[in-house]
Amino acid sequence: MTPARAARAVPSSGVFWILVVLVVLIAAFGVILPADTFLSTFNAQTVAGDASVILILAAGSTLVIISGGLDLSIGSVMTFAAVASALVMKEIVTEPGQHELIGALAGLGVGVASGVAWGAINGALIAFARLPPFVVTLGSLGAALGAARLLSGGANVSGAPPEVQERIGLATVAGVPVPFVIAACLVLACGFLLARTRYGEHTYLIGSNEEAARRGGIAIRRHLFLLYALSGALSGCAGLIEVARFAVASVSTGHTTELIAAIAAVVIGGASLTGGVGIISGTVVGVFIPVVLANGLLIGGVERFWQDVVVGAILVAAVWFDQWRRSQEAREH
Amino acid sequence: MLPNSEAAPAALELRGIRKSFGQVEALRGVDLDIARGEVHAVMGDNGAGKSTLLKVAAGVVRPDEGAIRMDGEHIEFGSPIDARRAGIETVYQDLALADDRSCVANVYVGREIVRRGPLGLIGVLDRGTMALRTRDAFEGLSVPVRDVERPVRLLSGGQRQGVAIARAAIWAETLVLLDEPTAALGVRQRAAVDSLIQNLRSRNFGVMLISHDVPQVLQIADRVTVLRLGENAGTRTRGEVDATWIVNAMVGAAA
Repeated sequence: MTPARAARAVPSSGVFWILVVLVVLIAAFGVILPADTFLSTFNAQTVAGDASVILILAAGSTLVIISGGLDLSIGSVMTFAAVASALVMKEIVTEPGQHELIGALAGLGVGVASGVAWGAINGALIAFARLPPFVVTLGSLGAALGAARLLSGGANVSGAPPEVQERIGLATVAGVPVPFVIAACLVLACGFLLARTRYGEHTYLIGSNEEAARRGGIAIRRHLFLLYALSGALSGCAGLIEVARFAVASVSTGHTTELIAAIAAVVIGGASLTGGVGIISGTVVGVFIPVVLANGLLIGGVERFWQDVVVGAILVAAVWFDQWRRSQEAREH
Repeated sequence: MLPNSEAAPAALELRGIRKSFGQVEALRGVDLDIARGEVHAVMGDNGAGKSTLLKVAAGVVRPDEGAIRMDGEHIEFGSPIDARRAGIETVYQDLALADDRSCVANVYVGREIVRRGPLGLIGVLDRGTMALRTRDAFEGLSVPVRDVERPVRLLSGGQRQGVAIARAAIWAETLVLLDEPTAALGVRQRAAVDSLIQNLRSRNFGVMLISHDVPQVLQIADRVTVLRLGENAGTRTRGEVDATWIVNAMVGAAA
């Protein structure tokens, strides 16, 4: 198959090819790494757990990127939501076993609500003030992280009720980690929204040709506002998953690795940064490429920070490949 | 009862339309009317005001002065949506197609059909019905596209024009406005679009056809209006019109 031919095959069977890459990656690590380390039930659970946060962020980013936008604030908003919910839970559950359910529910509410709030700020500035998504969400990337550190006094917030970690963060259902189950539900909901509903179709139309969408009578401002609010809500959920898994809300990194991995996953999955194209199933496979790579490298004894280097490189490579593929397609017409 | 002395009022009447953009007077009191089942071509040199006149009829541009009537009734368009509600569909030169989406999605932009029952309440699309109706409409109009699920980006220029015109025909009730529909097409594709336009006429739509193409206009227009410097330079019906008259009217030479 010539490269141009391979490129032509990708848009129609894109998910299949990424799946092939993923399987090759898993097989390679399986062969290279010592038996019962990489290919073990325990490690599969670890990978699923690690993937859950990125899956949630990437599902939101798939919608945003298909609309022709971008949300760089997802890692910071996730951090903010994690801190806010951890603080609320700590405040309510002063002694173990006391008000744990109320505390957990309040933490859930505050986490999602703070995500929606940041998303609504992004959405208002993008949809109504007509500012570029890149600038707006770069600004809120900084602002949300700063606000999270102000809330926490610059330190990580621990002290979330252990029940939350036991029952959700570290729990499994039929061997599958609960965070992964939650992520899968959210991803399925986003996939349904995108593929089956009017809102999803409008998202594609706006990303493909905003002027055509406007002339067709689609309320673009309202649509985009809701879209960024949804992305914020999903970031909030990702923050809650983090608190549930580790019982700590970390403010040290602002989750830039997760941000980059999520956007890389969307692009690997076949979405175009110019909008109008993308599919949730592609994103799902796309998420596992950086996650499996990071996991394999870690088990192989490569220093943890290489993970960031590798994920960053994957993002750039995926965008490069996408551009090349599109130029090949354009040449054929 | 009113005496039935005159013919029915035109589907669209534009009377004394004036529009200035800053110092530039794009339209200086233009009259035009279009009947149902009529292809009314509007010709003129660049800057003669053709596109502005189309935009007035499409609700994109609000005239400074003048009246718009549909079937004799006074009407005002505050936006393109108003014109659409009044039964006027417009095919712009850029076609306004979402290239990444299918023909069906493009036909139904902003007017998607949702399923009946509770699924419809959450906005679940009825893709089957939309595809079926698009296929029927394309067949009825002889749009040369077989696979309505194909993304528009994979279609030829003539097919894309066909999708845009079919979309207008599906949603229009009285009028279809076409802005230079064949400007970028080859000979064979032009012929396909011309027969689409004639098809619109046979379905009793009024058609406003903005065109530069003298042979096309002579072949398919029932009436021709020439604009020059924002004013009517004359309107003639088929049979009275020839290429010399059109060209003379366009450049302002005495007939």
